[in-house]
Amino acid sequence: MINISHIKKSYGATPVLDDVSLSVKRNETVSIIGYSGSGKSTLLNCIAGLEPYGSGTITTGLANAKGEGTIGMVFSSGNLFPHLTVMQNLTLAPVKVLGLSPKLAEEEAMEILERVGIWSVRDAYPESLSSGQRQRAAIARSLMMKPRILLLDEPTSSLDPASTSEVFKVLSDLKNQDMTIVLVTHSIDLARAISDRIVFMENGRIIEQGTPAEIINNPQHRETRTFINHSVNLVYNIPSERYDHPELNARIEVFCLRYRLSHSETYSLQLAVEELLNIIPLDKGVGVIITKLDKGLKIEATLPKSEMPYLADESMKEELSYTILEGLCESIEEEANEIGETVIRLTIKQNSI
Amino acid sequence: MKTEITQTDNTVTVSVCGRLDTVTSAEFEKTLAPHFATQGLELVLDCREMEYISSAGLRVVLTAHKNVTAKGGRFIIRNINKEVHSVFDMTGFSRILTIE
Repeated sequence: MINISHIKKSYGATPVLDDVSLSVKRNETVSIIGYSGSGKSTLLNCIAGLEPYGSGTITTGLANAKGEGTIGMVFSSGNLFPHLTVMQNLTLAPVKVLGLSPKLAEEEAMEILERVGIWSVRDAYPESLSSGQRQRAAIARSLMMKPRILLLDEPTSSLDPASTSEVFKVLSDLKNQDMTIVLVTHSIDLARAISDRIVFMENGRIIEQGTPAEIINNPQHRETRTFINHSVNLVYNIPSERYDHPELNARIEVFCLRYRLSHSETYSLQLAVEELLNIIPLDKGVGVIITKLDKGLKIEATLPKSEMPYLADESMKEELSYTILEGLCESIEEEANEIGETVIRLTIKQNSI
Repeated sequence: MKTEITQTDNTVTVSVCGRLDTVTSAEFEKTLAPHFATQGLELVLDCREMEYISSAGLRVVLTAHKNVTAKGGRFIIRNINKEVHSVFDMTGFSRILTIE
């Protein structure tokens, strides 16, 4: 459906797309993930025809000059017309571009608004909608043009967790329509939930692609592993004893919200991290990674190489912090990694608090 | 973390709102310390709005308990939520302290 062949594009001397080739099959849903500046949004804009490219070709097999059945694009900000109601936003292009009668356009809009769950706000203006409703209205507006290809650029990046969940549901439903979807996202959760294939980009190049399981659970390239690790887990670097404890707690809360963890699980996680940091030396820096497991949570602290194990001291086990960790954790392990650093792993019990 | 102190006769009630952790426990100890020297004091810690306690907060609670009881007084903890109660339980503090 979409064939991208050896695309190159530069901004001045800076290459943004460096020999990118990608094929997307009809009705396939492909997510493009990567850091900001990796070229993923530029690639999407090139597919949409919104940006020129230097060399290479993009073919879509679509050639309807009137717009119907071609490419729909949804931006992260929604880009609704602020002076028009939701209904007017939806019917404008079908009436003006496709030549539909206003009555027919409204009937189709009603049906689509019902599908995306915002029928009740059809007469509202964009500014009075929640961020999730605005984004669903933007998706609905794209669907009005009956696109064969739908391109979405960071559709959940500016949404709160509740709104993200609303948009997730709409996008999951779209996957079952007769439509090819290419999505640019930072959200591994979204990519995992709706994609047939995930493409990881860095520095204007496609580094790796595969099924969600292949890319998220078993990435083959170091760059992909680093990105997935930072996206799925909470990675926090503690530079010294004078670390920003409230900031770390706030990051843990955001992590817990993302995975919809309970208040008790959030408490357990914050408590385990605080107590662990009480009993290990922080002066040479500690890297903390928090991972959500299928059942439970894992905390991994990486410390500088040491002659003696950090947790071997019997007197430490009498510390209040250690007692709390024993109460919270299913296991407390310490071992050296491949470069000799010490890694302490805590697995938090379910329902420990 | 915020505290509010009310005093009636020989009872001082300290209400704690928020988190008692590494960051806030030193300030909490400063709030309690002036009452440690009072003979026969009933010091009540009202935890209705306490969201979180860690070992740092527990140490201050234990210090308060030791000081107040050493002067013939009573140290009472009231209205703790489920999560905070779990931390008192896992450290054995609920066996030592008076929790109502």
